[in-house]
Amino acid sequence: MDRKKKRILASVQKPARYTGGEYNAVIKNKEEVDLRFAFCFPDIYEIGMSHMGLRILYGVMNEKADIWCERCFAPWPDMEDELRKNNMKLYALESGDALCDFDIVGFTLQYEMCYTAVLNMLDLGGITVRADERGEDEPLVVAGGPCAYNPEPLCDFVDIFNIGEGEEQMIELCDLYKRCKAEGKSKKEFLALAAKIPGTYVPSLYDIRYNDDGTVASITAKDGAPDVVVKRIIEDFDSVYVPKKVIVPTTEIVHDRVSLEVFRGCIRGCRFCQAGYAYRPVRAKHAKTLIEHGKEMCLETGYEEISLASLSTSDYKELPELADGLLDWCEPRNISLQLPSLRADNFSVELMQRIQKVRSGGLTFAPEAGSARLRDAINKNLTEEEIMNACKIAFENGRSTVKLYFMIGLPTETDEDIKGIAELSQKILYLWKTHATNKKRGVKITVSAACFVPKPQTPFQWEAQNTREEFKRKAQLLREAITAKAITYNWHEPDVSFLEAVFARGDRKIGKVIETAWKKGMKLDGWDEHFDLDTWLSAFEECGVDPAFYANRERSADEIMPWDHISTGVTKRFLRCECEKAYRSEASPNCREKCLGCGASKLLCGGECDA
Amino acid sequence: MRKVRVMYEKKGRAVYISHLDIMRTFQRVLTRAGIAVKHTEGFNPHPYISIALPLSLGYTGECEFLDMVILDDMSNEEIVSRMNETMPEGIEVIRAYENARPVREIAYSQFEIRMEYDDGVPLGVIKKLNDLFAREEVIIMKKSKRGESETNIAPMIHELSATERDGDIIINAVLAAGNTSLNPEYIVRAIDKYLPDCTPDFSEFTRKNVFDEKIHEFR
Repeated sequence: MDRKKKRILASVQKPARYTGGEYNAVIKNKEEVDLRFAFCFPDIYEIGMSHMGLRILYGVMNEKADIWCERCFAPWPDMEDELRKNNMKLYALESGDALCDFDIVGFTLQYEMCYTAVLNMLDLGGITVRADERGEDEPLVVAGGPCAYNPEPLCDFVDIFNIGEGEEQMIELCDLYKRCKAEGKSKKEFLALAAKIPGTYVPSLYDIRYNDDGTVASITAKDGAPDVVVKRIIEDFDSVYVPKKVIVPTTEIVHDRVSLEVFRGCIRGCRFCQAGYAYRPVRAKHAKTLIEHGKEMCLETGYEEISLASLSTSDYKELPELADGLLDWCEPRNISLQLPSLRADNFSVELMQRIQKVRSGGLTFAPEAGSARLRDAINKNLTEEEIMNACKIAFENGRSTVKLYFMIGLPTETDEDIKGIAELSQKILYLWKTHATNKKRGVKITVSAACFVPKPQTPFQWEAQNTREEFKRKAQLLREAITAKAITYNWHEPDVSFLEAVFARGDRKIGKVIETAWKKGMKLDGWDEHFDLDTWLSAFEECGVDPAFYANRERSADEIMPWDHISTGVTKRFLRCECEKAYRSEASPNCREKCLGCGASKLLCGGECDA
Repeated sequence: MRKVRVMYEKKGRAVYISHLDIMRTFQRVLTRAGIAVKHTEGFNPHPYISIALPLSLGYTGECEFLDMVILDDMSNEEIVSRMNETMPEGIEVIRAYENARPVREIAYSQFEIRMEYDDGVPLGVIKKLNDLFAREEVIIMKKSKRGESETNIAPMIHELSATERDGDIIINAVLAAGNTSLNPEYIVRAIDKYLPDCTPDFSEFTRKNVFDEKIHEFR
């Protein structure tokens, strides 16, 4: 390590974020590889290292002898200051080389509020921020992840978006890149060829025209690019590559444990949830496979905890078998098993009691809405009886902490629905009073109410978001309705949600706003202490863009959406049908009860959705 | 079941692993190495391991000690090789042994302070440093359990000498450790207070050795 870097690391907080050298990090000889890939996570180390997609793609790429994939995270502002002051570029952790020295720089877009961090990391890494100004010899900039289902706000900065699951597509893209590099092809030639790889969106190959009112008039593909880019999926999920030698950070990260991905997709179809639609069709791994993976990963990492990852773990058909198999192995080794995303409806008492033997936590539910009527409208098929039953069992088993997650501002919501949140939490409190086995410890019920953000590729993509004033009024209403001292109400500022709503359904006009705000110093918008709505509003004004047009406007059913050329496999017709059912407060059966023909199973060649 | 002391080095990228994190790192190393150690009792069992002297963040350590109780029958050589096979970059076990001396016998640590001067080494700095630390009284503000106070650090300096090496000034110091200890950072602070012209632009610290009351190597 050179002297300059040593000095910088001595002056910043948590330097282990910036050193690399962790166990299982992959070190290769840069002279012996054909392609160098920098996997960039536009947030800090502790967040990025917890991300499953990074673990998977890092493993997939490094399995190839001729590719070296390294990692890079957004620096905290103290580190950024030091880098800029010392004329040092943002570097990847494995080699310490600057981002501009790489062939491909890839970002994962997990949430909209990371967009300025993408720009900032490019700039810090010595890469021209705007794609159309970037030189031939500069790295190719690619991006993927859930936000790529509406990639338009970042089209000014990104050369290629990967739509869908990346395990196969990334390798195909890398192979094409190597071939084009060897043949001396230009970036333009490469991009035209890349657009032919399924699931690859090259924004420069699409012309967008707008109507006078600002809505999209047309989206036209050129140079042989597909009219619609359909997302990629892994068809045989049971045998897909899973990294076992996961990097073990030396500093504590958010999810510091082995994470087992049980299945992709979700049978539930909650109408507000993008993941529930975008990750379809449902594909699961066998319990036998997962148990083997879990054991191997624990042995390779030394982690003392396994967590099951999926959108709704209790919908996993082989859950009893999986939990038993893992617990039998874990218990004698002091390894604990965590089961997040359990639904209250098929809550298993036995399972809960068994898990508790190793380590115990509180109870968390996400009823999302306060009334049965609104829960039907958003298709959160969870009845009050089910919630009460699960709480009752938990209280009888000595648990005394309950966290409840709700959203306010959902489509069709009335003030009665808001008050229903308070009523439901008070009923749970009463339940504790009548059923708790140990009242000495007291009870703690936490109610969190997030501001609803309509997301693209969901049945609510046409909806207007509540204004900030409306959110504040509703929050006040809820605060007044909650009277019990044992209930804590966590209120979320609507400012971030407002901006999130703009980016989520933004078009290419938003790119200029992001660039302007970044130049005004916005770079870590996901962090309260670095978020400043006023700066953003001034950026919107300078660019002549009205954020309310994106956040608070209801779209007509036939409007062309900025993301209409990106397909998750679920049809727009199906989404609209679900939206109209919401207006009628009508729930849909889950995919296991009845297939509604969303369209996603067409992504499986001859295969069947494993709902 | 037997008590084992592991002596290790911490250098390179690993110097940025904090004391708390190094404990967790060792827990995982032991799991990966398949070395069963005694766990704490209680609701949240974790391996019962301890580190003799915490090392400040950013310091290189050439003489670090980890104590544990192993459950399996395993030779010291095997412990060393198994641990080193699964170690993150920068940490290396030198040896493992039984019958280690109690940690309370630690009295001194030997540090090397490498001081960088961007505009070249100040004139006469070596003599000035050697003179300063030969005084009976070197008083600086020092933090202790009872808060910050003016403290004479001279009695805590058993030995100190300065030399020049490759354009840097190297201080070799044997400082009190254990109950009343002196972090080598205070040596640099004393320089800043008494010899402001000789304040380095950057200093790097390495713990080279650990001694008992009689300046015999502690192991």
